[in-house]
Amino acid sequence: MIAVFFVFLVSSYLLFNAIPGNAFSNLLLNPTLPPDAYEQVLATYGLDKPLFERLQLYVVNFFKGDFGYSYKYYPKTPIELIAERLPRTLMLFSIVNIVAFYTGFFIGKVLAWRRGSKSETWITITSVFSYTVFYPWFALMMLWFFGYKMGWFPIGKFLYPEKWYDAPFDSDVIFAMMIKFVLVISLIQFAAYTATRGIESLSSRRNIRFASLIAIFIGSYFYWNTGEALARKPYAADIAYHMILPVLVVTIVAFAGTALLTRTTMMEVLKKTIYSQQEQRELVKKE
Amino acid sequence: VWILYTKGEKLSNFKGSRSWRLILLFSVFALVVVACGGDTAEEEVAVDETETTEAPATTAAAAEEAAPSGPDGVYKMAIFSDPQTQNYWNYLDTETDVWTQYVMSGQAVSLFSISYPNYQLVTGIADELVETSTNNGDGTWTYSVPITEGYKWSDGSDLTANDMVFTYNTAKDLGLLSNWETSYPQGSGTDSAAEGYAQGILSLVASDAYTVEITLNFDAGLASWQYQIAQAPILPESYWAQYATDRETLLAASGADAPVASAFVYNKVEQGAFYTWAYDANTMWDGGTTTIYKSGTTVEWDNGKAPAINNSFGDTTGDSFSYTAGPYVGTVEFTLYGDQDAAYLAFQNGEVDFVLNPLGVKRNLFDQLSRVPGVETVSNLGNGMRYMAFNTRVFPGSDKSFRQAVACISDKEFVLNNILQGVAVNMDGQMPEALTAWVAPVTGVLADCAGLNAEERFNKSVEILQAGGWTASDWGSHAGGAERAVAPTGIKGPGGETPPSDMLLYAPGAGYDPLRSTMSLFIADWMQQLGLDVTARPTGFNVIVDKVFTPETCEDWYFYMLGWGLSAFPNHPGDFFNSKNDTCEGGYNTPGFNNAEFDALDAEFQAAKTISDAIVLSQKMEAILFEEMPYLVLFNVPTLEVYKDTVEFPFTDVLDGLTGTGAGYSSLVKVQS
Repeated sequence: MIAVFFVFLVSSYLLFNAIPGNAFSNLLLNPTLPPDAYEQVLATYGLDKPLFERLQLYVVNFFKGDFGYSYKYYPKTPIELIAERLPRTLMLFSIVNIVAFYTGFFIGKVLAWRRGSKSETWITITSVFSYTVFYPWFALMMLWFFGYKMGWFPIGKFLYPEKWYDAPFDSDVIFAMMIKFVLVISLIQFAAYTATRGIESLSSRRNIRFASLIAIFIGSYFYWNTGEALARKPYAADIAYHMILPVLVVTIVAFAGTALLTRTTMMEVLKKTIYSQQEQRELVKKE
Repeated sequence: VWILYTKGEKLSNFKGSRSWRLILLFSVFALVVVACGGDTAEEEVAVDETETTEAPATTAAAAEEAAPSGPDGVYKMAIFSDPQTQNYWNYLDTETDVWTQYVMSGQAVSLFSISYPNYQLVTGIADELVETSTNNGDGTWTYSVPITEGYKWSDGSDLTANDMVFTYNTAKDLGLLSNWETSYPQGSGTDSAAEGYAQGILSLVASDAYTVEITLNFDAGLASWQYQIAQAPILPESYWAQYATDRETLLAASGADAPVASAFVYNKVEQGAFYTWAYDANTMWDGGTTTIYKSGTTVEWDNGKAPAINNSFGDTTGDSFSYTAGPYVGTVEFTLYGDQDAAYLAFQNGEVDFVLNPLGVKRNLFDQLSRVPGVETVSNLGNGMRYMAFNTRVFPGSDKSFRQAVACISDKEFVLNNILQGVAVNMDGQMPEALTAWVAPVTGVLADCAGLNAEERFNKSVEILQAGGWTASDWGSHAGGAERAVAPTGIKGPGGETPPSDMLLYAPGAGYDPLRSTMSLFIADWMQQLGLDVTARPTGFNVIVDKVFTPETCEDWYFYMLGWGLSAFPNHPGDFFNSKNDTCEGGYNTPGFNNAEFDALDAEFQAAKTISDAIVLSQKMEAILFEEMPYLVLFNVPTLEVYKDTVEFPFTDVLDGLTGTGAGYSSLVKVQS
């Protein structure tokens, strides 16, 4: 495992190194620079060292957790840059995953229960289409239709700048808040599902889960209408609005896998159940 | 929960319990939706001041407390790459991309400046255009430049000579790289023949609070003084001194709250989303009327806050037009889009007034947008050129008659007009057409072959080769019309040398630049018609740059196509062709052109003190290049731009376009609400 990782590390470095040019090649196209300026830049960033020495430094520093500086955003480190973009990425992908998985799970159940019906055919065709569609094209089409043609959703960005001109915080504060919020409600719902698994009565189980959903809605209402969250609510709403189209697009292309898997699994379980009953009947007959 | 748990059985048995659940769920959902809609009165309360981020500590903050007295409205521009920094030091160090430049606030001033659209040299903070130096008699020359008294940075500190001294010392002592080395070249020694001598600044001191004395170890001309050192950036010591301890600390500073010499300060910096500038109500950097002549500019500035100025530069006679500086908007917004397509889609959708695009709109989109109501279009020539270089270090590029023959047989006009449908403008010399005074008359082989048809070009090219001592077992022929020529066979150079086989003409691929890619196919074919085994090789941009600009590989190519963006002062022929700048030695002379007469003229050019002298020398240098043809200059691509008709620019005809020269001219633009 370690050897594989080491090979991966070395080969990825060498592959990047094989790309023509470097982070500062653009300086070569500026004739106003003194001839040795480019060499000086390379020396400053250690790019003038022999390949083996650079590779050695890279591997040793990697295992020390030292990833150096970003060439493009010097003197920021890669960790700082990732941290800068992490909240918005985390927020989008956590929501996308939750929605896509839940949608897929739900549709998979419907497919399994309604096997042989027309709706199964249509849902399966749609699922296969969304599973195999060329994602960038589909995303552009959705953007063109819902964003440009219908004007329902923003074409780009994750917020409306004019709403943020006077915001006394930056978007990461809101993202952090939204992530916490999503995490808490997800945990509550998860806890409700887990805690009720042992309840035999289907109706009681459903009612408790439903009650937890109601509790989440009511809790959300109070959370977003009191204290600090109240002032931040319009900003959170702006971000949430911008997330609708990306979430929708990714959900459409991602739910199908889960849906088809759920359907297949449920079908197997259902068949298994039938066999068991038949087996039981046969056993009864024999007796 | 307890009630539902204990009574769940009964509730679920209740007829219609499913509907009941749905109604309840819907009711709560509606409650939350209504709640989340909120109202503005609520939104304005409970702002936690401790979490305020990046509010610039400038006079803008104080201005907000006073009665607002500034322009309203927002000027929205799209960008499609995230700026790398808001720190001016870092921007000029190695983070020099155009997006960083566009969004960079006015954190720096300079002694001299350029007025647009006529590219006239004018004063910046200098009291006058000091164009002569004092010869100290010891191999050094000193410029003594008075700075106008009374200018202030936006934090209220005085703008003095010490700021320039501080900037120079910081760049030198902290070893700042890249453009800092261009702006403040470090000189060494006073004997140009001695080892270790380097042209540059020997000292930069303040003789008093409002006079800087800059001592150089060479007699600088326009290129080095007026258009280089005198336009070097100056930043406020009062703010930056705290960070000027080492390079990393200085470059790590945010810069978003740095004082400016501009009417706008950073307001909101939302990395990865948008950036705004806000009008600084206490600014002195607003107003002023500029009158533009063909070769001159007058500046009248008396806003009651800044020192009054009334100066004329160049030839202020003839036709003119004037504009008054604003700003006319209270906020300038730079919104980031994922790519060019998204930015123009947003423009079409009315989200932004203007798209900042260094390369301009693509032709097909430009044509499409020109038909959209409410969209204005503008086309300007770019300040640059696309060219094909011959490697004059290796045969056959080393042979002048070969280069001339290729130049003659290459019918650029045919490709540009018939194949590329006029999307680019033919260019023969080194100067963009818009620099009319600088453009040299076309001479030599390009003049001789202009207007010839394909057959005549072939015959003329063969004549050139024969006159140059080339031989062939059969010189081939051209049947006339659109036919390809029957190529010469057994062709040999003047010394009986057989041209190499499988020579490559590197050019950017069609995905990067279809124009050069197409042109390369035609020129390679024309060279084949002359009996040379040349193949066009569309390839990655970085591959070409890597190959032709690396000293170790300076002899490993025959021909390539690339382009240059040029600066306000056209001294580039020296950079590209002076033998001291040979790429094998680390310079920009990729062809390895070596001509003593040219080098001598370039030395004179670099020392020229007046524009008229520089133009005469430049044209003599061009005449040599027309004869020697180290480059076959190909074409200039117009910069196409679009803007909403609610936006009014003081001018739109400017070499290099509205983005290239003024990044959208935020301080001059008027936006109708």
